[in-house]
Amino acid sequence: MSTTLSPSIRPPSRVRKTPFVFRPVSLLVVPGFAVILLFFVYPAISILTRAWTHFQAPQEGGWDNFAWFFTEDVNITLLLRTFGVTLLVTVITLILAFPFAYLMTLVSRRWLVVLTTAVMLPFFTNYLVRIFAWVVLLQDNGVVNGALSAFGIEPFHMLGTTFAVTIAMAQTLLPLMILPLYSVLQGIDRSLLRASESLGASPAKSFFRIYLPLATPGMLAGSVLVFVFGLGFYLTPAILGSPQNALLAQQVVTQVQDLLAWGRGSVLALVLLLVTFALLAVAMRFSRNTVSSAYGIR
Amino acid sequence: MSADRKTRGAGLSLRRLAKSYGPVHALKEVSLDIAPGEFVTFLGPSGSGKSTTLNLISGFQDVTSGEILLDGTVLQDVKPHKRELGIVFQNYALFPHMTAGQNVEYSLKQRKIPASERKTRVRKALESVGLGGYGDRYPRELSGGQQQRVAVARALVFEPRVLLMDEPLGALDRKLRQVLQLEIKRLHRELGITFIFVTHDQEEALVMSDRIAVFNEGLIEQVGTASELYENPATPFVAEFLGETNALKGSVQSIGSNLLVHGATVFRTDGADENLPAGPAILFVRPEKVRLLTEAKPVKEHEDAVYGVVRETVYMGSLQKILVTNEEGATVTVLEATGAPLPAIGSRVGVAWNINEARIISTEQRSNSAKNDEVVSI
Amino acid sequence: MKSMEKSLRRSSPSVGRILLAVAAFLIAAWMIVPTLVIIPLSFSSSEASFVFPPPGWSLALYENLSGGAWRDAALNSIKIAAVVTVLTTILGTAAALGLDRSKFPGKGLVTGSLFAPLIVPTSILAIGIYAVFLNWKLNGTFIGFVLAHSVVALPMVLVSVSSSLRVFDRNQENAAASLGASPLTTFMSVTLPQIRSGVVTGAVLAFLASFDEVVISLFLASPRLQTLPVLMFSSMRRELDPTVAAAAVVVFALAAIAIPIVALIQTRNHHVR
Repeated sequence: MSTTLSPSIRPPSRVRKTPFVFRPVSLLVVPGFAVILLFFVYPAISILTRAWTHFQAPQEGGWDNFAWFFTEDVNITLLLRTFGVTLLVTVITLILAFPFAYLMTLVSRRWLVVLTTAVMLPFFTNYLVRIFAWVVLLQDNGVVNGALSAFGIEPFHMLGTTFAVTIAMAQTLLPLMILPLYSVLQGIDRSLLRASESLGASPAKSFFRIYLPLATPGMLAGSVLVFVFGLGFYLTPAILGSPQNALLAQQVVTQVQDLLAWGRGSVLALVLLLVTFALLAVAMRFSRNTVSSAYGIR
Repeated sequence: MSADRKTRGAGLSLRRLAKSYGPVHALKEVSLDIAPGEFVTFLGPSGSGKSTTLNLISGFQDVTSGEILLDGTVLQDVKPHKRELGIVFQNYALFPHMTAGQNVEYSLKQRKIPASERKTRVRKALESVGLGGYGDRYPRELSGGQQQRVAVARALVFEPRVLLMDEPLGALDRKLRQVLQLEIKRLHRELGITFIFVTHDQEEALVMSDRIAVFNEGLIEQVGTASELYENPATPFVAEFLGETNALKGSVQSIGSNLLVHGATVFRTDGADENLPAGPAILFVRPEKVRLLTEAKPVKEHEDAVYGVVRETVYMGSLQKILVTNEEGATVTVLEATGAPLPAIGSRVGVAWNINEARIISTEQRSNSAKNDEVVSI
Repeated sequence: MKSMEKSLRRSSPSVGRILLAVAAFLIAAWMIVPTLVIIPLSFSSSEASFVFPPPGWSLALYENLSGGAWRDAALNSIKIAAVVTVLTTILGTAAALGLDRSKFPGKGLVTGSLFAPLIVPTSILAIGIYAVFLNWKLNGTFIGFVLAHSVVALPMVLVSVSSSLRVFDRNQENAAASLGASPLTTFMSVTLPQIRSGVVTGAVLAFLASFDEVVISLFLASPRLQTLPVLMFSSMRRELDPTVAAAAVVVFALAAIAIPIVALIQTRNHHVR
């Protein structure tokens, strides 16, 4: 009954549970959901269960693949390296995104379009294209080394290093930091800063006491997004890095494709997935609370 | 700090103050002396320069030319956070991540006041605006009126000598606005500090202020008490902006006369506007000073009259309104106490007013303020 | 007030603001300029490898691109992306409407799984689809590519259409119904025109999602059926075929076309303070 009313008059569903009434319109979801069910949910489940069904000798069954994961030092190193690189990328993007997003809140509409385009361009550019550009720039006789030697600095080997992977990942992920950050920053009422100054706080103090706390939900949302997507990066480390300093997602593919170790690949995939969802769950709960407490949104 | 400071406000002087953004003159030139402890309202439509003036005083915009003096010392070189002015912002600008108490405490923390004293002062400030016990609520948990009170408490808690208020009641409904107007007046009386209140609502200005400065197009048109402005408007703009008025357009024929020729009619005034220059001018008379002519009460010697057709009648409870349009197309509104029978729409009537009540204002010197070519009744 | 604040900014550019603008300019440059290196490279006359700056200029790489394996791969990519766009725009819009308009048990789970492909790392997606498609004999087939790409494209349409449905005032549909319009007429004449920006954005994003998809395609590709990104990947990693530069420019140009469309739609809904 009440479900047919417009959303604004719909009573809060938590208070009184409306009985389920079948509405034909819900059938519209079926075809799309069927595609996802067949070609996403089923494949995902079937691959993840291989952690308990596919084994490499001398492992035999049960939780052996998990035992392998936790006992091999390489795996722990892999995990730490992945977290380390991704964390570094997150910090770099946060530092770069803040001034950029802040400027976006100050400029006129015309400049906003320019700045938005500057963010969107890398966002929409094919990963491979961007990675390819980095290959050209960072190769031994590439542009960067050319520029360095012009300044009298010895050229050095960059391709295949974590350095190259970090730089390229930070560039690729920066838009993911800027966009949520901007959407929070542009909602901050700038008259709060004036109010703070009128109460005797210097502009710098006003920024730290008023602006930064209100910007925190945006910084958090952006950081989680960058970190989660960074964890799953495959192409960038696969092309710009090397197998010796592989990252987690890369290792998932290597286990399956090169070593045909489906069970081990599945364990790595499970770890990756669990970390991803755990982070998202925590961040969503936390940031929704901070966002809503800051802006009075329900 | 001293008792003196608590009880006495500061005087504020604006000397030939101007603000321009490139070629745009937001504030052309404004001079005004505000006495210590005075309640002055800046009244004007949006874009008239009143908010710009407030922003120049508070330091959020840079002065283009002129001076702002606070008790005789130049203010415009002082950084905004050192000006010690209490400000109530248009949408309150309460810090959403702090409770009402923390909002009020904020300025005391900046001044490194010890925690125990802060606590008492916050409590007293909240109590003074009727919000004792609301200190732990966040702004979003408060109603619009309560938020407004927190904003006032926050602006007053550090005992500024001047309080600036930028349309502080704009977001509230009419009933609440009237309540808060009286509360702000009471606070002014109790604190004795200087209040500067910005509004576009003429009724609010009339209710609250010692003096009103009427802003229009970057200039102050007139400064005076409410009754001065209402009864002796200096410009057509002031006459039309404050209260309801009838405006009859015409021209003054010779210098020094106090006669306005409107179509075939000549209107007189009592001679107060003696030195009117020849040229276009408008005669203003308040609707409540106009009466409907009847057979029993025909036009008298000291009255001028307009004859025309009743276009509309409005019953307004305690008052009723009759709109009469004459042959020149000018409409005169009559406002009278309910009781007398309303004339039929379309009937011919006459309306008249005592010539003491009429003001003729030349439109020459302020050609821009009377843009309407037609004779208007507001 | 608003216009005044804007002009205020114009009139007093403080040192801080200038530094901020310089920093933002450098960051924007860092986001865009490195990628531009591919443009001169694509006009290189060197057939050897990725020599920069190019020793000479020619259109040789574009000629390579317009023939043989490169041409086939590009056509495959376009065909697959076109079918995926049509399919997911229809399914995605329908699903968005269904989710917006109804309540049913397990709706949270359904919604979650519809959006999940956005979050799950593509490498996991890739091995899963690869394993399942091996059994279903879909690897290396056109339909296999279309279905796999639909998984990543569908959420794009869903996000985009859902967000435009959120701002759509449904009282308009009641109004249309009260004026005698059937549900279908109401949808076509009232709802669709107003969520069109969301549908168009969704379609653009779906096309790009399919056209740009690399990781899953790497697993699905066979020597007979490759997409452009697959060929680019292998020529970067193994063959070092410089034609990849020309291919990259073409793919990059696609993004450059898509952005103004999306940016326009985005900023139209933006509230300037």
